[in-house]
Amino acid sequence: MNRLTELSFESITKSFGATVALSNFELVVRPGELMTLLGPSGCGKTTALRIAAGFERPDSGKVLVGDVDITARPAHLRRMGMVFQSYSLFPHLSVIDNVTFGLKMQRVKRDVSRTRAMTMLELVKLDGLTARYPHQLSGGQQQRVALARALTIEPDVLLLDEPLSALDAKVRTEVRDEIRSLTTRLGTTTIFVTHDQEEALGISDRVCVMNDGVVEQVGVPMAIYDSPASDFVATFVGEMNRLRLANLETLVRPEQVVLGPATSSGTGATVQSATFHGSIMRYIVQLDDGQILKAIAAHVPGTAFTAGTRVDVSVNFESTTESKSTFGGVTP
Amino acid sequence: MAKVTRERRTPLWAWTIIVAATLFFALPILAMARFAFQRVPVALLGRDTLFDRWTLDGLIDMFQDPEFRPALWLSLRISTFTVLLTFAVILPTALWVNTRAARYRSLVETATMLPYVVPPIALVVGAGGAFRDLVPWFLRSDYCLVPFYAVLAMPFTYRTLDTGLRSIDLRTLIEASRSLGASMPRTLFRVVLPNIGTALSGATFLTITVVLGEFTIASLLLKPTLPLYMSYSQGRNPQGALGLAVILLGLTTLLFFAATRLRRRGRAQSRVTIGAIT
Repeated sequence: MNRLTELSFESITKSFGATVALSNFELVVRPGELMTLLGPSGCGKTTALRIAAGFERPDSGKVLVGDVDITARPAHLRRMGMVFQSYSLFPHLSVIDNVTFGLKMQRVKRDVSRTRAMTMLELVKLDGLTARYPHQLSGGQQQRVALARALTIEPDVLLLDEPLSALDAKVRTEVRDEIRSLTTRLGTTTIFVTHDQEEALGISDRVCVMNDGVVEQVGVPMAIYDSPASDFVATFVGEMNRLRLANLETLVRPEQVVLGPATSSGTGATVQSATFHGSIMRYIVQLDDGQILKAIAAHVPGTAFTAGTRVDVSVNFESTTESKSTFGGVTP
Repeated sequence: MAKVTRERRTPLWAWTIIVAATLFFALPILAMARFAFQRVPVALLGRDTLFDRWTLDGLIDMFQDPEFRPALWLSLRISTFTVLLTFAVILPTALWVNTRAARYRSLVETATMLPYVVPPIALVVGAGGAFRDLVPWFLRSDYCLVPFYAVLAMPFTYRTLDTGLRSIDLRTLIEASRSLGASMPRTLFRVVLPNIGTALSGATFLTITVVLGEFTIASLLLKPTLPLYMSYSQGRNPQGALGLAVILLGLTTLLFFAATRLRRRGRAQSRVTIGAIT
């Protein structure tokens, strides 16, 4: 079960009334990769996904699967498995009937479809709950069934529309890891839509950062984080401080801000708040010139600073030598 | 955990109103039932004769009347076709409003209320005048009542179906089904309709209730439906006619309560599903 299919968006434009949702949107999702569309609400990421699924028609442009133009093809003939934000299991069908639904539509024989559904349910570790109905499942279980249902039809492309956003934090991480391992194992080309940058960086082969209907940057997660192509990407993906140095303003990640015990020669600052997050400490410090900076440090027992403490602040620019040169944020 | 909620008692004045209203509706029905099912002269129907000579003779006579069965069958056939027409027209409209045309919701709701404000006589005179010239065979057919009854039942049926469709996540279910390879008709029959079963039953019961109780239009168009038969047979067999009226009243009340209960159950089910989600 290894469908290596490429999905391309070519110059897609889509408006809803006066609102432009996508403007000349170009993206190629490589065969077997998990591409995340990341951006704030209203940036056009869900519209792009719905155009791929066939639920919206673009005003102009093309959607291609491999070399085949599927722009005008009806949704039910596109072979795109989709998992939705809200639980979309059919309430009147049991887990096994939900998972075999797509195969029944393809008129696959009953015993074959049951075997395939059971295999998929085993992969999402729900093979013991086949007779249950959706209202008897937790949110995480429902999304895993929805994932199994979408993958059972062996889709050309798997479309995931914020599938984790209704889940609580622990389940979200579990289901996220499950999506990653399943799509890698099955080699399914996948588009994952989210507004959660941590989720995007954690799950993706590549990330497409979008804003106002246009692509800001496409790249592997580390490149997006370390070498943001625009001010928007720099500030949207991860946390960022704006630091004024003489006449320059530069963008500095909180983990690049290093705090040390106060000395007479260093750049002095006062810790305004210190919060403990298990493996890390988060600080907000005020420099003596009034600038406020966020800092993150690995938690080492006995070394934490408390609010009100005087500290020295330095910035570890070395770790961002590459990114500094590409920062849109470095302005005269 | 100690029980903190105090049980609220229904105040006396409320009980008084409930009892008075119940008597107001129940006493005439009881009087009807006594007239229909007791072989006692009307002048003697009092407390002393409450348990005397109860009989189903009047009703049996009516069932044996050769005109009764055709009237009953006609009403049942018209009920069936009215239900089918309702589902063919009102269901797609409700689906359209709930999936693609939410902005027209208030317009459609207002339109479905029209039968409340247009009296049946106006409906028949207006539509009848038009049809008589254009398609004269239409008004000659007994089935010409079907569209009139579908319109009459519309305020109830549209709301019932709309409530059913709003209680499910319609758009997501349709899109999930389509992404799994189901065409729109298959999505409708395999996903949407099974999930609004309670609303469909409710709309069916309400339509039958309307058809079984409608007199004016059938009378104006001279169609021998059950209500008309009952009205005309009052002279020949008053006991049988009233007996049938009592039975129909009971039946339509049962159907109405069944529809209400189903609607409540539907709402409760959708709450359970939502509860499991959150």
